[in-house]
Amino acid sequence: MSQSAAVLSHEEMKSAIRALTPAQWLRLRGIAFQLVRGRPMDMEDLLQEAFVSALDGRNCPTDVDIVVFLRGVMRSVLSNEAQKAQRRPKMAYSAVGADERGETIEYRDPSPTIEEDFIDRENAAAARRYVLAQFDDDPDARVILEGDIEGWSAEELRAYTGLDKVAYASKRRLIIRRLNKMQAKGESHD
Amino acid sequence: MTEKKNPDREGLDRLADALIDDILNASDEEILEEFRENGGDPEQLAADMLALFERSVMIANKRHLTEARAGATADRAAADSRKKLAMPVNIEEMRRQLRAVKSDPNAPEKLTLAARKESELSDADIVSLMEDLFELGALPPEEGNDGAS
Repeated sequence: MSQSAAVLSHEEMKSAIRALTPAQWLRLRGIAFQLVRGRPMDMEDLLQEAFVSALDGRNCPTDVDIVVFLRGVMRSVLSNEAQKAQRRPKMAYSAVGADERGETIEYRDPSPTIEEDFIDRENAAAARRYVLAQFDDDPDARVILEGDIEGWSAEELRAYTGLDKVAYASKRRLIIRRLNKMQAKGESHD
Repeated sequence: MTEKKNPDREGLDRLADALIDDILNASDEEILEEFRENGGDPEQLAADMLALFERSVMIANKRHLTEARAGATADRAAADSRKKLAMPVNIEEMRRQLRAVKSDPNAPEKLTLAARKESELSDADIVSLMEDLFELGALPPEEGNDGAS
């Protein structure tokens, strides 16, 4: 790594990724798994797109962990995919008219169709229901997950559940272990 | 443009962020132990992930090459068309060159055919034909026009 550079060079980025340890690869895979939940993209595709995108000139500051950097790239890839899907010409037509020669033409509506919006909402809702259902037997874990979904802080969740710091941390470990087991078994909420 | 508001999607994103923070904060030992408990082999997983990365490197390289080629082709086309636009057209000289092709034994058959019909071709046809020949490399630029108008 060069002394004065604020960002990794292309070669430095490749070297940093090739040097990831098994634990770091597992973290990266776990992050991808969390990000694709309820989205029309699988984990491997997301990872591949993120690697390609990172190599395509993304700046990774030298003081940022490469796994954390790739997490940001994966989020960006998903956001771009969602925006592309919204811009893509749709099969639904908003109007039918006639051109100057009197021939019938159809005008395409560039906005997402009601059906596509509905499918996206349903996918997200189904994924949310599926995750929560895995913790039906554990009210505290379920409250923590619902709190995460609502954006509650750790302090708020501890106060609500009555768990102390150690018990709260232990519960969060249990949650991630169970979700990882779902991943190992090939989770699907369809 | 931002993603359309979808409360379930936003909630799922917040959940993913919280769980990802848990993953990032877990120790290496915890992560490896857990993976082994589920029957996984961390070394094999690392090898598979590295292979995925190497495939991505190839895709990125290929994409760069394709973009560079497209850029070079576009630059060449733009330069050629600037050159052509800059050249004054001397139609009599073009007709003379085309007629001269009739007696060239090395000229392609299609070209000698066009040369024989030179008197039947309009000025526009002649210019178009000479431009095609120039683009195909059948005529060097200096032969395409002598600079006089």
